[in-house]
Amino acid sequence: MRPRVLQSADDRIAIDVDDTAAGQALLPLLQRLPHCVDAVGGIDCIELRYDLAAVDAETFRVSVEQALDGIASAALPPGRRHEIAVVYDDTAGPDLGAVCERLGISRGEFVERHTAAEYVVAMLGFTPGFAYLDGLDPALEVPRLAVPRVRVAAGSVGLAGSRSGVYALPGPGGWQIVGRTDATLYRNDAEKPFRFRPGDTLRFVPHKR
Amino acid sequence: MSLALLRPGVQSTVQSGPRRGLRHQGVPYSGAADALSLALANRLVGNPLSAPGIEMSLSGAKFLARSRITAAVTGAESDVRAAGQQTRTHRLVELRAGDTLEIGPAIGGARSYLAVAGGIDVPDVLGSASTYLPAGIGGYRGHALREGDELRVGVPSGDPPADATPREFRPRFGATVTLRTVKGREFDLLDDNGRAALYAEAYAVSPRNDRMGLALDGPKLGVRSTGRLASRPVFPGTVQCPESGELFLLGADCQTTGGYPRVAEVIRGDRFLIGQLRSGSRLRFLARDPATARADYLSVLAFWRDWLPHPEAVI
Repeated sequence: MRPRVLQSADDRIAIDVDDTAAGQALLPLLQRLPHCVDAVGGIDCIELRYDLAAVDAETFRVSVEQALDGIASAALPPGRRHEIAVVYDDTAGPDLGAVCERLGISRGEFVERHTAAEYVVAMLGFTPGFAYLDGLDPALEVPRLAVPRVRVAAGSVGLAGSRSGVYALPGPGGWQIVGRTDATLYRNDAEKPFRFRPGDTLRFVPHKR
Repeated sequence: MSLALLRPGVQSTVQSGPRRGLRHQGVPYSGAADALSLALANRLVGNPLSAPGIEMSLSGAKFLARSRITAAVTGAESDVRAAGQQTRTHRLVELRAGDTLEIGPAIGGARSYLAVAGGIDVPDVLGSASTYLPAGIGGYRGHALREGDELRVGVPSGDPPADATPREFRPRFGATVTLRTVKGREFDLLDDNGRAALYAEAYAVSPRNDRMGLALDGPKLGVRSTGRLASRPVFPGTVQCPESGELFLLGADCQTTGGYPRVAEVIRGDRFLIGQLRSGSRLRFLARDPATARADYLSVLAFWRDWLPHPEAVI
């Protein structure tokens, strides 16, 4: 069945998807369409930005719909597995104390639960290489910070709603930061700058400084 | 050849074209906030339109030429002095070794642009020389320019086409700006009053503004929201309306996804204007349908094509 295709700006269309991974799998296929400038995934949709000088909305939308009709099913390539050593303390995770207090659990229990789960990279987005992770223990759900931080350190591991997330580079954000990894998550390579890809699985391993 | 920073001003960064092809991995575009003005400066010195130049915010900056350098300043109106002598924006400036170049505070708009023949020579990071300050990548060592920084200048590749930009191609950036917009994907989350107010009211740019985005002061819009939405793609020109009802206009360095209702999208032909908004700028939104917005964009391109080769590469 063809997903809903809608105009979302004068030079963008949105395609609703059933789940984040389905959208991520479509991105590389649709990015190749003539006049497509960018294909960006969200949690429940993807958007394509097209070259407005070269093509009008109707023509581009038809080419997207035809492409979607020709895609029987799209799946991400098999993911890789990562083990990521994380320091969980007040320096590496400035929100760790407040998170444990809110959840009513000890730091030990928090670390046990956070490292017990196997996470799946749902998508990259928001800031460079930031990995949205599915698989968080529902007992660890906390809201975003009321006031976002201007700068969060690279390697920071955070919580927001039903997800955990990892910063590949420093950036702003409202995620509650509970720890940090020293693992190399970024390199200056325009082809493949980030360690994680959608569909990868990862585990956090507690690491003492 | 090089250029030394004597006074960096409020915030000066090396900017070039956007960082393309990595937005799906969370990498913002960056690049000149007013890409048209950088292109006009580059055009005058004979560079490719997106060659790396220097973007100066509000206060201007002061430089020292270490060698013969051909330069041009564009963007917001400002006082320009070369070796102490008054010159002006949109005019070729020939600096000799030891000459200073001083760009005064921006008048009306927010940002001035300096291009030098040959471009500022900094390495590309993720495909662009543009500085992205939040992650400390690109530009001159990933940071805003500081006093004492020595910027290398590349080898000039083309000849200046004229001594000055033709008068009709010098945009004026005033304190009142109208941005044409199309409806955003979550426009329908605004209540009836909010929908009307979005276009009827004037907004003032708040002091909370930077290259990532600008908070807008004005009437708070009623938005029906069940808390946070799922994160969806956002782009420069997206107008968000969080639960507080205060609009937020995204800029060149904006994040790639966001969880607030996207109530409007600035049309492509007007996005360069966002880079010239400053605290206190008065702003109105005009409603366009997508087909009209494309016609608007094509007419913007048709105008600039008489001076800029391939304006669609920068506007």
